[in-house]
Amino acid sequence: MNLENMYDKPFSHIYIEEQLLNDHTNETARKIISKFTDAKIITIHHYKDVFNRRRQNVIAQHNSMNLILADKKGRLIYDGSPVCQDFDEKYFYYTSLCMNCVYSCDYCYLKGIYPSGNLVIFCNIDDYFSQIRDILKEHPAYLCISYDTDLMAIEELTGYVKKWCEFTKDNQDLTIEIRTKSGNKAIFDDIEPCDRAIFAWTISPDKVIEKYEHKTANMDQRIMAAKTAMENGFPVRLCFDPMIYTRDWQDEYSSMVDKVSNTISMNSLRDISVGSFRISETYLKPMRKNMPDSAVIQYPYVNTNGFYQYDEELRMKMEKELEGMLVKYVDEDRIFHWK
Amino acid sequence: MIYIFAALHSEVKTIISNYELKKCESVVGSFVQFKNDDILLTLTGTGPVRVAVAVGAVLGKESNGKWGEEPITLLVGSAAFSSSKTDLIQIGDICLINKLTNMDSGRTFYPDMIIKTDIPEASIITGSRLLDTRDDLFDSGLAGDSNCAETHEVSETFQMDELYDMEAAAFYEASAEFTSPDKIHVLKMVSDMGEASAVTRESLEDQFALQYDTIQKYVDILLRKESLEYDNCNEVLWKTADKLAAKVAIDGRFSVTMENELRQILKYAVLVEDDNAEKAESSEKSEMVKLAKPEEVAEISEIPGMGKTASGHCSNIGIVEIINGLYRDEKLPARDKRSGKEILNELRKYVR
Repeated sequence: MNLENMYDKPFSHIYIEEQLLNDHTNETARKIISKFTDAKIITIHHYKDVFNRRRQNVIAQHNSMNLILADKKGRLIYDGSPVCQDFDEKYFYYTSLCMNCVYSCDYCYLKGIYPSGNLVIFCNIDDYFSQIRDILKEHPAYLCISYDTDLMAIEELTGYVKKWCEFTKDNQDLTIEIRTKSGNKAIFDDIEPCDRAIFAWTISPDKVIEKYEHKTANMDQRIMAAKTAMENGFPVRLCFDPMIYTRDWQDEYSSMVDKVSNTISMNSLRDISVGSFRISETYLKPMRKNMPDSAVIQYPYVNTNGFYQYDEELRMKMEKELEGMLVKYVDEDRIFHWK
Repeated sequence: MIYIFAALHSEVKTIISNYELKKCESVVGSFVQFKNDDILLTLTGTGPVRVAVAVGAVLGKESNGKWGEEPITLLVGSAAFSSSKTDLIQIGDICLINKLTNMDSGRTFYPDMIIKTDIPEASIITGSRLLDTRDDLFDSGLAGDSNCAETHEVSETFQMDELYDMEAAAFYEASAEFTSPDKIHVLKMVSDMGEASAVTRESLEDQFALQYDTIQKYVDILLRKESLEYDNCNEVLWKTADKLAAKVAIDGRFSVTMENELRQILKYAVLVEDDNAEKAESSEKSEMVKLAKPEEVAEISEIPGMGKTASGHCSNIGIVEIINGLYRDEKLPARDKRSGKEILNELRKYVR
């Protein structure tokens, strides 16, 4: 018996807040539970009773992820982070309908920011809509809805991407971005196109995906999903971010750009973002402790103003070379570079 | 090492005999202990205070507090079944506990349920006194989950099982001071339906003997998991990288910050070179790694494990060779701190 075989299947246990379990009007929770008829259902008072326990082994939990269903209270729409690309949007926000991701990328900041590897799904999406409506009364908003998770990967469970697209269509001053590493194409048969619902795929070379982006769709699948989105009238963004250093990064990124350009019409993309890996020092420390065997985490990054990143010379070289490859296919003013 | 705790000898008599645990001199107060190379079993006596003290004493002494080396703890014992749903659980059933409530404080704890097992699960309430009837438990307001009964249509698998005992929640709360939620386990055998007077030493021994296979299977899973996690650990390599970083830092007149940076470079180098060596093993035609002759890395390979990847092969493309070159060229030991900085700059090139 090897270690992997000892772990239970994902979502073998579902923790649910008592008040949510008793709320007969909440269809999201019921729909999710109905998909896991073998799961053990455990009631909790508050999601933090499970999510915020001390000393959790995040990596072990990722091997056998369990699900927590809850309602989120308080502020639900947050100002955009300085380490994230704002695409020159003045009113840049993000929101989290889920905490954690079914994928398991070694370098993902979620492994440093959260005390748990379990997935939380907040089932009160209407409250989120209510709060963004309040903001839209003041000014337009650019809202990233899939930062702390991958909503496309769990669309079958939640239906949140479809709901957000429909909501965006009804609210003219709202633009949303759905970031993903999923190969989900079927969704585009099910939602009406909206030119303010931007689907953004993180694209990485095959080697990086294989080594560090566990359980995600491979590059071909992501590119095909992006192509499908474009063919269905959705604006598509490609995020070559984060760039990850490997010994043969130049060849890897060159092959990647070739593959992308041979598959989709890059000049039809809404825009592109380029950026090398960076992470807050607050998150990297626990990640290095939890993942002693991950090369991307143990790389000797340089700490600049509280953020770990590649040293300036390497960083500039990587980003400039990639941009040089991309400008052959996309106008320079549509390539956004993280500063 | 798995740390097993039990209130009573009759609950673990079969474990002691089948795992050939020998009574050992207890170094933790008056608690009786048995052990073999893999298991340390402690009899705590009944009640939350005694079990918490025992866990604190044993783990306080035995655990080293290191991240990634947290102890695995298991409480084995008996409990009364308190729910009205008597068709779900019978006397003699073994349950794995997924939710523990301290009756006195009202606090609830949740061990991580990540191990694949067929053992049915239950929740438990822990009190500080023996309850004579199930009515005592319902009167406490904690048992029954009456709200949940109304939502039964949500899922047929929804559990309303609740056991009652005098140790489990205290065991969890004490263990949580020393280890992670995925390493705290509680197995409870249902000894009665709330009639404590029906439970005798002999009945407990018999019931646990009947369920021994289930308990043994679970204990064996824990032992195997611990062994596999240890095998997967690159502890030797990290210690070797630390030693090499310390040696070069002294010879290079590095500051603490520089030494830390070098340590990180070495860790990365080990991980990247280990990947390359694995590919070389799997592909004879691979040109990614050429196997070096051991004498070319003699100086550094005196440090056990260094100069060699985890698979035991030497790599001559990499940080070890660079460091060896610095010693051969007499750049190490460094003349002064300035020279030391130049050396670190050379080593940084390895990762760029």
